[in-house]
Amino acid sequence: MSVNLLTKRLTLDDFILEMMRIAPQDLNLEQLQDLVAQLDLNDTLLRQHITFSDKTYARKLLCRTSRFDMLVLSWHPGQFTTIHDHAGALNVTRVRSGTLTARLFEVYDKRSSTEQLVRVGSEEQLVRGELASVDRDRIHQLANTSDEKLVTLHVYAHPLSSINVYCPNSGQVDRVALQYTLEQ
Amino acid sequence: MTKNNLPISIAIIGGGFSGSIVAAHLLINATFPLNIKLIERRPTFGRGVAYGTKYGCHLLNVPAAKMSAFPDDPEHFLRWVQKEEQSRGNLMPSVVKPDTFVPRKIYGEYVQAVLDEAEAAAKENVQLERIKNEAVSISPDANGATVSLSTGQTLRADKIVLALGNFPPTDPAIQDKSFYTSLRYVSYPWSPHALSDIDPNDAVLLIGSGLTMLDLAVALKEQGHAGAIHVVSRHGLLPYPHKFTTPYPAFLSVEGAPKAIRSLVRLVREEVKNAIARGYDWRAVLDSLRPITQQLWQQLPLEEQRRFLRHVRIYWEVHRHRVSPGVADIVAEMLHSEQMVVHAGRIQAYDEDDEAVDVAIRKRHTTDIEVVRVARVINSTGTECDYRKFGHPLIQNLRSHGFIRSDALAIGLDVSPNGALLDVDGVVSQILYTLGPPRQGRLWETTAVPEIRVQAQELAQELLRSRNYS
Ligand SMILES: Cc1cc2nc3c(=O)[nH]c(=O)nc-3n(C[C@H](O)[C@H](O)[C@H](O)COP(=O)(O)OP(=O)(O)OC[C@H]3O[C@@H](n4cnc5c(N)ncnc54)[C@H](O)[C@@H]3O)c2cc1C
Repeated sequence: MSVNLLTKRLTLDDFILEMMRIAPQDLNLEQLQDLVAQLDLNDTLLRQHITFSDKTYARKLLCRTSRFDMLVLSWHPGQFTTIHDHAGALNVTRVRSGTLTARLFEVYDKRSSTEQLVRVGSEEQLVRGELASVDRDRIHQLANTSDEKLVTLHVYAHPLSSINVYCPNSGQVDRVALQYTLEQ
Repeated sequence: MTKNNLPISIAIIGGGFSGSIVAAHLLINATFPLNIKLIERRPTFGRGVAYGTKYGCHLLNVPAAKMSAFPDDPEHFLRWVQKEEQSRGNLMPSVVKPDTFVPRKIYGEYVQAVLDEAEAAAKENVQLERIKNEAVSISPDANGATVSLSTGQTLRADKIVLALGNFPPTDPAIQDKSFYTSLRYVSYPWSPHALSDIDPNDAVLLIGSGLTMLDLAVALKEQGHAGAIHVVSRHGLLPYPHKFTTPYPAFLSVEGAPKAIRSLVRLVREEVKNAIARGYDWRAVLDSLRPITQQLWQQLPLEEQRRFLRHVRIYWEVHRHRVSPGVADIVAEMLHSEQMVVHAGRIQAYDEDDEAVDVAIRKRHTTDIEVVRVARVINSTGTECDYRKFGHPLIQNLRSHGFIRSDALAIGLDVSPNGALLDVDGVVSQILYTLGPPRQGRLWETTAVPEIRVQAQELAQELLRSRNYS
């Protein structure tokens, strides 16, 4: 199915209002997917948050409300995230341009809460308009393993204050605090 | 003896034509325990950028008789494709002859078949591991190197081949870059989505007028595009079509050739004039230079090589990298019907609204500005080869540690004659090797199959020869 990306759909204002309608504890992954799927990807504000960095993928906070964080990530070929979970938050990522590699990991040896060995459970390639969804406490990694630049839109509900990062070699799990400023 | 009798391990990063054919030679020729790790980030091995296209109208720009993967078996591809055609029937719309330009996606199948057959024929203790992952860093040490993959795993190898191939073009320089964040702009011409969601009646602008542009133009045609196709490049020159010609006898020897680009060009021009007067085609004259192009290049002083890049390259490209007659016919028809319009000039500015984007082009050698209104702009300027511009983690990692350096012209990597990479101080690596497009600075002529297949064979021999690694 081809998605017409230039058709205007849900504006950011609409999205904020829709998110306010659902109590945070009732929000489920499908509802969040439906809303993110309708966002207008050619939005001017969104475009202003696209910026690439040579060191690592660039992460820009587009909007933070009491209910969610919305970020724009811009990736050069080869850039990738750590292997992490969102410490209880739901996450839906939508591809704006390029191809996203989304990997879900599974724990195959849980020695303690801070030592868990993980391995790739599944991997998929997602293209323009498609969604990568991560339920509360699922472990995942995102990467741009393609030859072209990638821009993705990320919504986290609840807003993120920390994530858990998994080291695939040692099994060590580290809680990492997240802080954004609008300039980030 | 190999050290401790453990198998030698060779990691090849990049599973396009170059990486796959090195692997095939290693599989066929290794006589001692060997573990080959072929690392490719794409879902399929053997295709790379060139042969990963989904369009049947993307033809090889070299005839079937010259596309064998093996230099000492020039008919190998021709035999393979003829046999496949017999057994599968509808592989090609016509019978494949030596001068047929076969679709590139079929060539991708061939490379895969070569790799599969080599794997099947290999000795029991010679093994190929296909690793679908992305290499993001390499740490060489006294005994080899550790390669890190994007999923966090690491692997060890005694030798490493960087077969990274063709890098995407960079966005054309312009003062206000904001249009490059628009969904109307496609920065990567080989994106599977470059041509999706285009209304067949929309006008499109292709930046660049070389082989990449032709790929996009014929793909648009294949999907029934009826709207205008604007093309802009500085000179507005399109590649010439291939034509079968009577071979021209060698007229220049390496020793006798001038070492200055101006005299060299003058000499070739005069030869072309004479040849035409004697009934030959100019193509035959250029083709007669192919066997010595690398040597001619190497004996030019650096300043002369620079001069070539500045003044001659563009003309060399359109004459040397020719397009198949089939594609040329389609494009000629598009030009004739004025569906395709070629603008010689530079893009000055983009002005986008809800409906389309106005692109202002300053015409070559004038101050006149022409504005074209299009629904999509696609960067088809061809591959970037300046390694200093690449943000890829692997290249960043290798550069920041000083394990690689650009060649003096910054059109590839600095390599020794056997393909070993030079580090930042010019020391020849005992571990890292490369082939194909990154050798451009040293060889100039190194991006097509007829050159790469020789390099792949020689590099595999080199790696097998130096097996007593420790
Ligand atoms: C569009 C196009 C058409 C062409 N047509 C012809 C033709 O008709 N005839 C001809 O002779 N030549 C042609 N060429 C020239 C081409 O350069 C060679 O034929 C050959 O395909 C080059 O192969 P390669 O393996 O060096 O590069 P590539 O095909 O670019 O392959 C490199 C591979 O490495 C992988 N890779 C890169 N970095 C990493 C990493 N860090 N980790 C894992 N994998 C990685 C990439 O995914 C890619 O698959 C064409 C080139 C292009 C771009």
